[in-house]
Amino acid sequence: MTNALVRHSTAFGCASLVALGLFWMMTSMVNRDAGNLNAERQRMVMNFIRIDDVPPPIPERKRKPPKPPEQEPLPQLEAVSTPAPQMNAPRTPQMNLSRPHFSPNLAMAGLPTMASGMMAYSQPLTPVSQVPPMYPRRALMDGTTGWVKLAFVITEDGNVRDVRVIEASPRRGIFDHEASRALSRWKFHPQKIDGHTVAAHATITINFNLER
Amino acid sequence: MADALFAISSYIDAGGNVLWAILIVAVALWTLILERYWYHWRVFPQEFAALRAQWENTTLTDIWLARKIQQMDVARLRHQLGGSVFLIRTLIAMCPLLGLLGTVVGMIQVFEVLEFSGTGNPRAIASGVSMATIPTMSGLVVALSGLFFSIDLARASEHKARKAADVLSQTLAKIPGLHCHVTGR
Repeated sequence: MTNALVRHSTAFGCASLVALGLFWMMTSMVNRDAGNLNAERQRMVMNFIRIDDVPPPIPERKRKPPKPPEQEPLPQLEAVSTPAPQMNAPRTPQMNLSRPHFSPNLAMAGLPTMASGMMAYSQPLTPVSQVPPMYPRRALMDGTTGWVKLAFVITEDGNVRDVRVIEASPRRGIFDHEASRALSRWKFHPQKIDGHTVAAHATITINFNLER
Repeated sequence: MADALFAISSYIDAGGNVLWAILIVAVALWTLILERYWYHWRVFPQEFAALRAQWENTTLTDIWLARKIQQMDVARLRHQLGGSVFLIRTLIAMCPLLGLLGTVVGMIQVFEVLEFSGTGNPRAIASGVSMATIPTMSGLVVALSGLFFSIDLARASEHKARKAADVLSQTLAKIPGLHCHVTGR
């Protein structure tokens, strides 16, 4: 009985070693390159960074001031009468259409318009700068004429904002867009009260006519 | 040595707790295997020699009785030779299953990690994957290491038992009054 016990315990000791050996084998199977990696890491790495002792001083460059450009007297040019160029440009085919003509109806200016807190524009409604509206292409083709009555606000600096179409003829809105687009780029003298500039209401009618 | 132990412990950490079970099974398996080989090489020849001497100096005169007693002796010898071979086989069958268990545990961990961090973190998934694959490998390695020896042991024990029966049966021939044919077993 003790014989078997000795046998088993000895075998147990050896078996522990065998099992550890097996596991070590598995470890090395899994991390096959671990040793190599460590060796790689510990290897001396040559350093190829060159370090100079003292950098040579950078020579100072003297800058020459630029010479002032010599002022040569402009040569007197003789006045020569150039003949008017004889242009032989090919005549482009032109549509036989009448010229669009816009005439802002300035008589409508100064009418009391909206009853909001803003005051009405009291000066003659003469634009400082005026962008002529384009005659809409369809209207031009159809020969349509008409007018658009617009309400807008002249701001403190003379610009135009809040353009609204009040009335238009024809009603389909052929001219509405073009009229409001052009008007919103116009400039007026701003309304002045006691030296201050204030925003003011105004109404304008833009006529779209075709000159015969 | 310490290096190797450290490597093994980190390996077991990577593989999860199931590796401890596999390690224990491996130790038990190899204990039994080594004990068996020890028995076959050292103990069994002594026992067999003693038994053989006993039978050569037998005082039995009844051939039938002698044969029956010898059968009993051979059966006892066979039992001792076989010993824990079945237990060894059981342990060998257990190893891959333990590895599978570890794999499943590792997969569950992978899924937990996926649940937390999504698929965008391969580093977090990798630990679970290694936990899933390492136990399988360990179980397979342990089972493979034991499989050959278990079969060898089974074969050797059977072979030795037959041989012992043969040798012992020849001692019966010296018993006076033997008239019938002597068989093994």
